[in-house]
Amino acid sequence: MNKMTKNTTNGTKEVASEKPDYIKVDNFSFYYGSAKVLHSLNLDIPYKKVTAFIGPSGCGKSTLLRNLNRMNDLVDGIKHEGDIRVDGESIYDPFLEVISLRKRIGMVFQKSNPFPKTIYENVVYSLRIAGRNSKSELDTVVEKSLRGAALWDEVKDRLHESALGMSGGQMQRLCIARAIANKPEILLMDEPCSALDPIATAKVEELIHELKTEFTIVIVTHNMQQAARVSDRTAFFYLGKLIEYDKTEQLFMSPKVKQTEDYVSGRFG
Amino acid sequence: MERFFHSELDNIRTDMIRMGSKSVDIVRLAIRTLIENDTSLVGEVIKSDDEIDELNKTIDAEVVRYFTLRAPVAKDVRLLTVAMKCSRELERIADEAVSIAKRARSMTPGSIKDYYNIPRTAELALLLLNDSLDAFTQEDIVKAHGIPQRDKDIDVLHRKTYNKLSDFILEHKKLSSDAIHLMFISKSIERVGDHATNIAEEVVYMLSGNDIRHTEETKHNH
Repeated sequence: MNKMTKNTTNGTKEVASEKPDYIKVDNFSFYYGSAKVLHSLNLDIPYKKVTAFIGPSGCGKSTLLRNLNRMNDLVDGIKHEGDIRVDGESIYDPFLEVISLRKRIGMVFQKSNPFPKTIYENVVYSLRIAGRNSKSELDTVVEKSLRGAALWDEVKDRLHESALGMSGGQMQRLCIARAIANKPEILLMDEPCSALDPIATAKVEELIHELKTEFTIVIVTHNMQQAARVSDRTAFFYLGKLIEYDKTEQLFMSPKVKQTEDYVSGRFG
Repeated sequence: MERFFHSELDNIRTDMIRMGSKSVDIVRLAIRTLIENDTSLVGEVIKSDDEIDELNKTIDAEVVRYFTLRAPVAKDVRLLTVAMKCSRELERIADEAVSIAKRARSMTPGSIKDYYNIPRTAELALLLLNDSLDAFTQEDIVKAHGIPQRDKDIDVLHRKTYNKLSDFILEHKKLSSDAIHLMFISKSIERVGDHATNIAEEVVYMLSGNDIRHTEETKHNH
């Protein structure tokens, strides 16, 4: 693996992504009925990096996130123009199975949504659906996924208890464990910490930092400090348009567009 | 709970310590240029000053980056502001060292036999600088509190040297140029003591949150 490094503005070294355009949003527009909510977006999301989408409510950041694994297909009256490619393949390829796309692209939602099952069964749910029931395989996946979600030590002695008895922060990390059990390539996170207290938020942020060694992560957040802390790239959206997209350090320290500067410094509106 | 970015604070602290150590070295080198009359060291002093300037810029950039991306509070904020201010003090110390070395090079070798209190002033200033940096590294607030008072001795020695050199100029007009160089050198050394004191005051703030600048404890400074 030939990882290139380059100097950032502060002299520290950043490992360049092997695939800077792993996810390619190409002149992408999106409509709910006749309302155009995303306007000709172009951005390249790098492999095994954390990319944050920020912007005020209604700016289109969650809509774009939900298009990356075609979650919006479930909404009536939608339409798109342009394309989104993952590792060179269009997610709108008519021969592509949407289910297989969603296996490659896991998702964690704003509100943790564990199934009313045991912790163990939550993690292996998707494997069981796929007909994988070997106990030894499932045990391995459970431990690996819970360790990956920094939850193993807290729950290893109560794997067969209901997931609904966990704290909010633990439930959200369980949802992350469930998402990574399937070995996705990409993790989409839609406001994953908005319902968590500061300590649980810190744990999830730590987890995001660790998970990027294995996954490409795209996170939508209203919390700009969180975007600044956890992401490598940040995209600022407003009214369905991509206003600025840059290295997080650059975007927060010296944004090029006044609208971005106003938004990140709290002078917006 | 340690966060993944807390190691960046350690990097800033390490850069500060490295810069401090280089600042002690550069002052020592500059004094040797004068005392040993070894002008070949001037180049080394200038090179070292360039390195210290770079470290100053690096620390500034690291601090600004941390403020922007990590939303620091409490003792982390104090460390960051102190690192930024102290690195500026160290950069100025290095400038004083360059000034000392260049003035030493400009003097006629052996023209003035007596450097009066300059060697002793330099010894005390270096000790003060070392101790203020130790106070930072070892987070020793007692040591830091003791430094402003000790700077007084350096000021007294400098004034004595200044007065003696003033008398010398009246008696040896042909050597006035070299004597004026010595006056400036003595002043530069005295400034090293002032910067070391500023660092100590910042260390007190870093460790306790108390701002002791321009108070009864420190107002004799400068």
